Amino acid sequence: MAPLLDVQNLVKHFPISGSRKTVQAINGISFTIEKGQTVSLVGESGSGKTTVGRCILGLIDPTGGGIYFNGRKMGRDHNVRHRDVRGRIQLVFQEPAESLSPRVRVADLLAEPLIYQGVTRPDRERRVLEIAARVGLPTGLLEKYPAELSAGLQQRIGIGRAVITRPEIVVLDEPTSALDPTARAEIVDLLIGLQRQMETAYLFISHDLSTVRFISDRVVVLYLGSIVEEGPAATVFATPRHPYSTGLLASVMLPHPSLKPEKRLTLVGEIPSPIDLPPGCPLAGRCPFAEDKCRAAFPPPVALGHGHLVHCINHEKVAAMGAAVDFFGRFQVLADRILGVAPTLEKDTVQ
Amino acid sequence: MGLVRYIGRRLLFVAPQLLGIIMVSFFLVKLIPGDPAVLMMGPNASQQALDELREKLGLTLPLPQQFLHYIVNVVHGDLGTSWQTTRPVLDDLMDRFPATLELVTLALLVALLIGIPLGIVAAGRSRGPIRKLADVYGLLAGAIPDFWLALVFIYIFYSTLHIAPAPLGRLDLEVVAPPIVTGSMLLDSLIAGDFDALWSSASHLMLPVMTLGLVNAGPILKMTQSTVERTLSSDFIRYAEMCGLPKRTVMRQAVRASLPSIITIVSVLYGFLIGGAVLVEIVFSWGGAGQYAVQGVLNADLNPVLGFVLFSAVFSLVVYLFVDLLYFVLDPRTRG
Repeated sequence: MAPLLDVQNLVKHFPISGSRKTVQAINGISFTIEKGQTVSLVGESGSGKTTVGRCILGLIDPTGGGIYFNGRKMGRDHNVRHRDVRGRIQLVFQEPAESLSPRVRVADLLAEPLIYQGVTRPDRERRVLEIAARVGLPTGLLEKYPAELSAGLQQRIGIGRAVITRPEIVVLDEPTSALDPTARAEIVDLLIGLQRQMETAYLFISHDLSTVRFISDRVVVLYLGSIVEEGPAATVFATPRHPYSTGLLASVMLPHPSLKPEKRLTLVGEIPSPIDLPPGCPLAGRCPFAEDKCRAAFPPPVALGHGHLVHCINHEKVAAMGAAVDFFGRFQVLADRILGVAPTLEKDTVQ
Repeated sequence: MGLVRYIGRRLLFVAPQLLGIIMVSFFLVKLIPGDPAVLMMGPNASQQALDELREKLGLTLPLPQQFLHYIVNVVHGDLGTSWQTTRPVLDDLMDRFPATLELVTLALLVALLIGIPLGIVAAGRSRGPIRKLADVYGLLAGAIPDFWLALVFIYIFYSTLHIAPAPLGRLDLEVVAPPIVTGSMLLDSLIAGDFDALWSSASHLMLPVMTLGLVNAGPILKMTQSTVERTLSSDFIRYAEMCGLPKRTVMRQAVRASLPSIITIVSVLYGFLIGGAVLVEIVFSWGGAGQYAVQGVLNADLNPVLGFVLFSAVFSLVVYLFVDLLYFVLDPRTRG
């Protein structure tokens, strides 16, 4: 059976007006999402995460490659706006305040996607109440305007509006990065709970790596529009094999003094401009292991088992650095011991 | 309820606002060099006559006392007398202000009819001929001075083509003005059923209205275009698009969300035009309030200037109040 969502060799280049150059936002990436699975796209700002999400939702047209939803190719006449697909792929935005029309009441915001699915008014009202309860919006707030609510509650509206159509996949474009830590934890909990109830697949786009570790089944690491490493979340976080993933993970601060990576692989410099990229590995300019071969062509994927793929010819050198102590795993054990609950542990064992 | 309380609170602030405006303009006007007494009596007047006149005009009093006198008079409905026309300023302004108001209102309507549709259509596309047209128009409207455009229009439509009447006032000389009811020449002639006057006033309005309308469509166009563009690229419009809404409906949502900013620029423009139309008024010998005030400034005739400022201020405050009420209707958030 075809996977729920299959992204194949996706390319998106934005032309720069008044110039022949293009912004190479995505350069041929492929990944799949299965039913009920959470796949995370991680990477620095400018790595093309959001562009991937926008392409999947048909908000922008890809330059090349294909996106297949339930085995059917998405395109001009078969996309998220199309009657057959409407409501089956949904989106939650980064900025809750900006994604909600400021002059529409909360109840109508929640009902909005249903209108265009042709759901009748009494049905809509019933489902709005049901969803409001499910995402933790008190009924009293339904008559209010979004500006009157806190960011956390606004994001609950955004999530409620997305899941009200019972979608098969929800693209979450940094849904927690505009929130303060407590609201963030609540939203992550809500997302995990909803997924269990509704068996929705998530494409979780984020640079918040600690959240990604606990919510994802698979992680895809993007750098300048190319996938550099992908695999099961626990594996990638425990044993990152690409210099970029290693550097990225080393930059995360975990809230415990014993969880400090001893040997840091630090990447020098900034993410380069994605305009007219040279051939070869995009990290070559920042990577301590870079050799001439890296600059000649983008390295092919190396399979490390259990679906863990890395695009690096020197992945063994990265592994030999010993930077790969599983701090995230240790942190989770620590956190579970302290808090006494294990909300995500069960997810890991399911794999 | 809320609305009435809101209006009441707004009106409460009108008096101090007006007092502030009069105070600032009074002292600014007093800074203008030139002695009214000398200008009134002419260069050959004797010193004694000048002194007497100064005494009579209250110019020998200290400034704060002069200001107090002025305020007391204004409260009693007396805006003073213009020595140029030798008539009370209030009567003069009552004659002239409607002329300006009619011109400016019609011009603003023309500007809206050009600026808003063009701005909305141009915002919806990033290239193409309409977008180019909007860009070029915005540039030209910002660059061309209105009085120059007025002269060009007079040259083309009056001197060359003989379509438009001579740029001398609001009516042809042989046409008798209809009795004043509203102050608007068009409406008054309609009320009087005088179609000669209607035709004459309409043809006289034609060129100045086009001049002001075409030039002032520029800022409205730019504002509309940029606001609608910004709204169109916002997340909630993207979401609406994603839900499968028809393009027209999405556009309507975006325009609705952009209306407050557009209304703001229009209201500011309206208030500004009362005085800002003065060059066009002069070119067309319109006999409007702006022209009256400028003559007052040039001849140290202070009462007309102050009266004009007062009238414009009241007008602007009324427009702003009206705009705030419009926000009330348009934006449910303000109704809280």
